[in-house]
Amino acid sequence: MKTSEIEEILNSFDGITRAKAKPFMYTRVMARLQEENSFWSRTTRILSRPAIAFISLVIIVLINVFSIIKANSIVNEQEEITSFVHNTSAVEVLQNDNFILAVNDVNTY
Amino acid sequence: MSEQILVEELKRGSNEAFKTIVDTYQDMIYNTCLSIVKNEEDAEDLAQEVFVQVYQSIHTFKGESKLSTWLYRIATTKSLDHERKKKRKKRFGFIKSIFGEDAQVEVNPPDFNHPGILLDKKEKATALFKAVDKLPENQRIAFILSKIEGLSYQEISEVMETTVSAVESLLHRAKNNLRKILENSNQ
Repeated sequence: MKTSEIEEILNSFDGITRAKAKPFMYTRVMARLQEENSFWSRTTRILSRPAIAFISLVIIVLINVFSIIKANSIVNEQEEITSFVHNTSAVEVLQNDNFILAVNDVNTY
Repeated sequence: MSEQILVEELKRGSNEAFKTIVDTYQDMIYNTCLSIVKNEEDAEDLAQEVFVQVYQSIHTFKGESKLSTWLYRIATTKSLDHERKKKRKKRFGFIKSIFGEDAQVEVNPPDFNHPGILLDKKEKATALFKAVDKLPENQRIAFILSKIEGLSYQEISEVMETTVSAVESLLHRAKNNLRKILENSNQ
């Protein structure tokens, strides 16, 4: 391409006039504002903010971690109770056995 | 009504003041958005978004610059964001199409005709718009504000929040790059 042709292209914006917006811009902007002020639009806008989204995510993760820890502690408590019950019953069985043996001994004498 | 009074009225929630602002600046904003996004529907949508933001965040406008400067700043930022989103969608659409999903790849119209260009210059202006598209963002904005909106270096520096000498340098580099792009385009 010739230098003169390039210069002509570079100057082709000379004398440009502004493009005109479609009529009733104000009415359309007001309609959009009303739409943006509706409950759902506001809620979505608030929730989609990065800070809010991040905080919500952190809260959800914390709730999950808390529930897992809580569930684990319940399982441990149950295991402790079960082992206690088992141990207690074993002792009781031994005690009963000893009692029966003692009674038998008394009876034989 | 002076600009300062208009802003004060709008801060108090006056719809009349807002209507005056929309009526006064709608063509300026629409033209700026159109020159950047090169699509009439998108430009219309963006111009509306600009005014919605003006209405919602007028309390953040401290009056240190002219209202038009603030509006230009919002319009250019929104238009560039829109362009970036469009490019992202285009890339994502391409990836989706690789995996066989039915994705529409959005593309700017290949030949954009600005309605305000003189008839005998339309063809050359189309070539120039194509070349401007290949410039880095800040050079592109400086060039559009200078050549299409007719702003002075001082006004551009206020919109772009930079110095006058930086604007001069941006425009100088923009013209050099455009020359190179145009030379290469027809080789």
